[in-house]
Amino acid sequence: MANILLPPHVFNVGDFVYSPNPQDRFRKIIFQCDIRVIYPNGDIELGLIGYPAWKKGNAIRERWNIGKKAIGTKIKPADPSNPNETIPFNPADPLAVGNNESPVWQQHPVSEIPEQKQDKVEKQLSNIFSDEKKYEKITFSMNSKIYKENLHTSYDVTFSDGTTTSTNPCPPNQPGE
Amino acid sequence: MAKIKLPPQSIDLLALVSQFPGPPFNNTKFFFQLELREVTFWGNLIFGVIAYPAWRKGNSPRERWIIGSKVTGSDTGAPDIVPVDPLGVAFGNNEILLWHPEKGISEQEAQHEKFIYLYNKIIENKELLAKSVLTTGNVRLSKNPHLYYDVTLSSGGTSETALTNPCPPNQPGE
Repeated sequence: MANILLPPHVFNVGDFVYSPNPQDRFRKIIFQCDIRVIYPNGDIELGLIGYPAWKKGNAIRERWNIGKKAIGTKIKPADPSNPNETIPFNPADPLAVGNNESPVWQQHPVSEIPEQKQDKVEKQLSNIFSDEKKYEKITFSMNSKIYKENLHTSYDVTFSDGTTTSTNPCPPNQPGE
Repeated sequence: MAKIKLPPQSIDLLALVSQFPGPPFNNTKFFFQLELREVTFWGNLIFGVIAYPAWRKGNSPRERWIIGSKVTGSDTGAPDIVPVDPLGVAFGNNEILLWHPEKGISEQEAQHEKFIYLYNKIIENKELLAKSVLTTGNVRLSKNPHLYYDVTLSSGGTSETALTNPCPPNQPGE
């Protein structure tokens, strides 16, 4: 039986280019899966890409602008013993592939993270994405975490300064604004 | 070379619309995603479409989107085959706005307007709504590359087609 492989990936923060206007707030990254390898045994390896998104000015009513695609680099092969990285293909419970998002500015996504902790994470991420020196140097890695209730991929995100957060798969979750 | 295949799908419109909290129906949209339904012996990937209704609380553009329950599409015919190497093809959200969009959102605005006109006519008539169906087909690949496709709304012998908006890479329709 074929497996869906979701190996961990790494991104450079500097690859996410937002609007040069510092007043353009409400920023987030939208992640998507892409097909990287189809192995002879039928296993399918999915990679990760990300898009920076921002709103003009500081108005919630403004529409999202989408920047250029950043491509994640595979860190290591998917662990065959990790059920979050190697998912046996099951036609009765198919894996859906949609958007995952991670806010990097003041937003309040619906997630399993308690609100206070989420506020703290958002401040840390806001610092990373606002500081030019940090921005160029910092990387973040993404490890898949299967959203089992309604089979979707989501990801734990770990920045090289130790900050951690999770992505929000939406739908099925509510988008973060 | 392995291929991506997406059979045309039929999606129950009533199952989507009945989740909206009630009129007025402004600030609503449908999200579409793909799910991997089959991997053939030759490594071909056969996908299906799932849909979610989305609305804003109190019909206010300032409010956040609320997402309803998934409605799963069913196959209605032979699959469209995406005629490219599937490596690098990305999968994200596709959406269709159900109210009049701002200018510049869709390259097929006039078509979209007709789709919305028929949609509004259908949701005002319960009998018509119960007999209406959404079908997806005519899969295409954007430059980036992402998949997008037509969504046709059919009811009582009338039909209108809108093009889904893959976002990202496109700007979401609000």
